[in-house]
Amino acid sequence: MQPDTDALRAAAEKARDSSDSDSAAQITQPTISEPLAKGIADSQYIKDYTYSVVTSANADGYKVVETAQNEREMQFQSAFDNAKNQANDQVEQFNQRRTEFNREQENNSQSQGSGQNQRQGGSSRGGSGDTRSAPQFNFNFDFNFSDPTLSRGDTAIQGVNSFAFVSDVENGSMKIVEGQAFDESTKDGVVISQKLADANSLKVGSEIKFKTTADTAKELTFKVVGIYSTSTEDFNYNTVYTNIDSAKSFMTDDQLKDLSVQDVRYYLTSAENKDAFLKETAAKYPEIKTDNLKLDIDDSSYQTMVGPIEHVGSFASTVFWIVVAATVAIITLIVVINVKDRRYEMGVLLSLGAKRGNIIGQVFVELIVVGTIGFLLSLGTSHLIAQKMGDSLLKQQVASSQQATSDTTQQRGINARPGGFSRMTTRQSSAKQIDTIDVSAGVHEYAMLFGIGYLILIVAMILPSINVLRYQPKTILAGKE
Amino acid sequence: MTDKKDTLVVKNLTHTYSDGQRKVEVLKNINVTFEPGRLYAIVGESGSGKTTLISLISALDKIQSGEVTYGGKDIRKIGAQAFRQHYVNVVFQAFNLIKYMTARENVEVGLDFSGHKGSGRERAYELLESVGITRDQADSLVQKLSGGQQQRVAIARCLAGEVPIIVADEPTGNLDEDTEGKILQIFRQIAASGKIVIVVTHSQKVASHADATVYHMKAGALSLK
Repeated sequence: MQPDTDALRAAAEKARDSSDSDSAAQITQPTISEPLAKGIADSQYIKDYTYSVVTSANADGYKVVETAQNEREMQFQSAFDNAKNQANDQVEQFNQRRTEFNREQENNSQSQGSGQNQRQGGSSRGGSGDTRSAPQFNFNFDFNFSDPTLSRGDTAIQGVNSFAFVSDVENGSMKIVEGQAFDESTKDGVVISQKLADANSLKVGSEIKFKTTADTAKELTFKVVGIYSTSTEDFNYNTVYTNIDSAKSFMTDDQLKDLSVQDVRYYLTSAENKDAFLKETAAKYPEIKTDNLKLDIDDSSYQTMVGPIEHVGSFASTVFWIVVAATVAIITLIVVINVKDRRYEMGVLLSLGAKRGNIIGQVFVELIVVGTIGFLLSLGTSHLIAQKMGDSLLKQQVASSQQATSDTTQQRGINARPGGFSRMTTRQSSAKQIDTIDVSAGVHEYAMLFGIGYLILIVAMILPSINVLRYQPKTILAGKE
Repeated sequence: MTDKKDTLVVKNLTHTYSDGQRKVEVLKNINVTFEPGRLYAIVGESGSGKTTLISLISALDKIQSGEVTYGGKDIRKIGAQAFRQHYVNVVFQAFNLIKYMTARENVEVGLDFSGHKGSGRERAYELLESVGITRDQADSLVQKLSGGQQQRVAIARCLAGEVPIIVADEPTGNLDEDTEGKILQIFRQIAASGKIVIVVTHSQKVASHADATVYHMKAGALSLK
């Protein structure tokens, strides 16, 4: 769940287009409350969910790592401060010049119109008073370029219900190199970066102390349960991960009261349930829409993983129906020819008093016996053939899919450059394509094989049966059939 | 004409078929009675209607007009399949044996339809022996047997059905004179056992057989010779 960028953009455009300044809408970044995030997770379609809370703390007894991000932020801050100082200097100079200009104007008017001043009596005081009250331009603007999570503390605290749900962990760019991850049940445990650990000689099991950023800072002591490394460039290595409850302990009561959660993600029980989940949630939580929030289904990982398999499945399904149709046609043809070849025998049997149903039954039983032998032989061979075919098809599909992904990535790289909002909505799928297939069949599959096989035989018997029903023993035996 | 028990009666049987644009009357108001224990011979030239008559009698073809009764029951009411299974078997000129089977197996097919209980194999041997087929011959594929032997097998198969009526369509047409005589002897024995035996032939030898009641078929009309 995330802000609905389209809705926000529409609201912004509406505000911009509004000619009545009083009615201009105030656009604020929507937030996701913790109860809403948890409430949605109660859906029957949800298998698991995660969200994170972000706060900060100050180092207490350890030194933070200087990161490229810190450096860049400081550069930005420095540049901005310089610009601000220059602007202030310019404003000050402007104000001084304006004051001087006003003073010169006043002096000139005093020297040129002293009589007039006398006539007016005491008005010069008023003129002098105007000069003193000339408007002064002030430049009083401040901005902090640093990461919001670092706006107050030097260490970013990210609370998430399980370390495994951290986005970078999911996409494979971050991993535990020492110790273990935490989950909801972990008490006072944190996972820190390897650089932070190295810089402070911290190991798994070490204690690490923080000071909260509240006005009345309190000390919090945690235990390092794991150390992570990341391949992400410009990463803030002062980011400490812990579970939600632990992260909340860094917050003040006021912060907890207005707590908004981030990176809310739900994992569906099945990709097929996505529409049902969206429908159910939209009906149950209308505030999602009114608050300009949006539930996006990100099944890119699923599609990436199972895409080739689904293509193979789709192809196999098509092949299956073609094979069924071809088999029906071929077996029908074979049985028709067989029945035609044996029509003389059937004429004899009819002349001896055989029922047509018995003759059809005899042909069918013969077909079933031959079919059953064929099915039994296929038990051994079908597995090998299916495995070979599956591997070959999947290999082709994976290659094709990777080519398509490569093309799309190149295209996306071009399109994403100017996008500001795209960062909020685009998630890079790190899921690995399924490139191996294990063909196995159990009793159920073989029962289906036999069932479908027998069904094919029944269908294939229809036309030959009609022929048998048409047979007249006299015409057969007279050689006129 | 009074229907008797186990008597096959043909009444007012007329049959036509369409020959392109015109209708040809093959049988013209045939009336005849066949009694059990007797051998009947129907002689006539080709195209006179002999085969059509026995096709109707043996329920291989549908009766258009008139009726055929057995024991007073219309065979249409008995049902063509049931009548063929329980009342009549046919010996064809071309033998009509199942070629990929042995002589014994062909006879066993007849036994299957008769609802024979017990060992079909032994009964088949007995029937084949009764028509002069040895056990060795019985176990040979019918294709390997001579024409006369194949016809004996066909007769044995008819007997396997244990039906009261045996109809033979030119049963000696493909046989030499010596074999023809032996086959006729078999038919005479069958008739003597109490069955109705109707032999359609153009053979004068059959027609001149002392025990046979000979009918002459000409242009669809049947008359006692």
